[in-house]
Amino acid sequence: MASVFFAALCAPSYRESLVGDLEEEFTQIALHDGVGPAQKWYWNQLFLSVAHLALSRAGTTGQMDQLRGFLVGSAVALFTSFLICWLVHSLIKRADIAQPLLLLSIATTVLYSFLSALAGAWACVSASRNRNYWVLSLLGFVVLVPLLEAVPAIGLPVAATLLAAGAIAASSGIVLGERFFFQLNPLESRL
Amino acid sequence: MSHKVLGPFELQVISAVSDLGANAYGVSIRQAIELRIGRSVAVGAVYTTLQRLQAKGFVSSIQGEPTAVRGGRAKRNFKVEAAGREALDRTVTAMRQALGDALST
Repeated sequence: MASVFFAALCAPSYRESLVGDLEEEFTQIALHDGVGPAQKWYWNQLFLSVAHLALSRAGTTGQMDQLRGFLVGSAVALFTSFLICWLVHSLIKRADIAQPLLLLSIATTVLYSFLSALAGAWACVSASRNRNYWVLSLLGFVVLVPLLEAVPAIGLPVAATLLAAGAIAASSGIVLGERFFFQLNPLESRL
Repeated sequence: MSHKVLGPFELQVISAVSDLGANAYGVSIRQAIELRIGRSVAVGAVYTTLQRLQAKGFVSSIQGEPTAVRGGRAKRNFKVEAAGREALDRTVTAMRQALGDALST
């Protein structure tokens, strides 16, 4: 999972060497200290590297390409959200949970679309190289508000499941969108 | 060509690449910097800095052969270019000057 995030965030020209470096150091630590510490080191590296890699990608990618990535990512996220919500709705048979769950699923999906559209618009008009991702992150917190308001009605476990499903759907959608649909700019192609 | 001095982390990276010579690749560069500054360094920070230095023409890189210990992935070896050496010298001179000024006051 961590390797997928690294590969998606890193510039394509450095992708193979960066993932190879991590694999080499992971093996060194696993042989010396065990698999547990090696896994901890790997996730720690991902945590420390995300901001660097994401901001670097934002800085070397054209605004229209950022917009395209966000829009495609949002479309994938929307589809995945619907799929997850439909699966959750189909699996939970209890009538008292199913109805609010469906309503909340629709609300969450609409909210994701709205946030994605806002992020895309911001990416298009922003002249700053770093602001897009920070604003997107801040907007992400807005998702928590309706979910927290719905907790008394639907219960904490269902709300937590929905939040996790939404986070997985949105992040995987944006990562897939960026990875497969971003056009590299001349600077990145040259490296 | 840029006549600006290198930033603190750029200086660490380019001097590590210079010291390591033919063995300068991601793992060795990151470990050399960690050893020098005594704290954990993110692989993402090293790679984004190398990417920036390469875009400025200060370092160049060449992809090696894939190896089993790296899961069949190739290393990328880095080398300091003439422009990088000039930038390194310029930065060291500026730092010496600043230190000299600070010590003399």
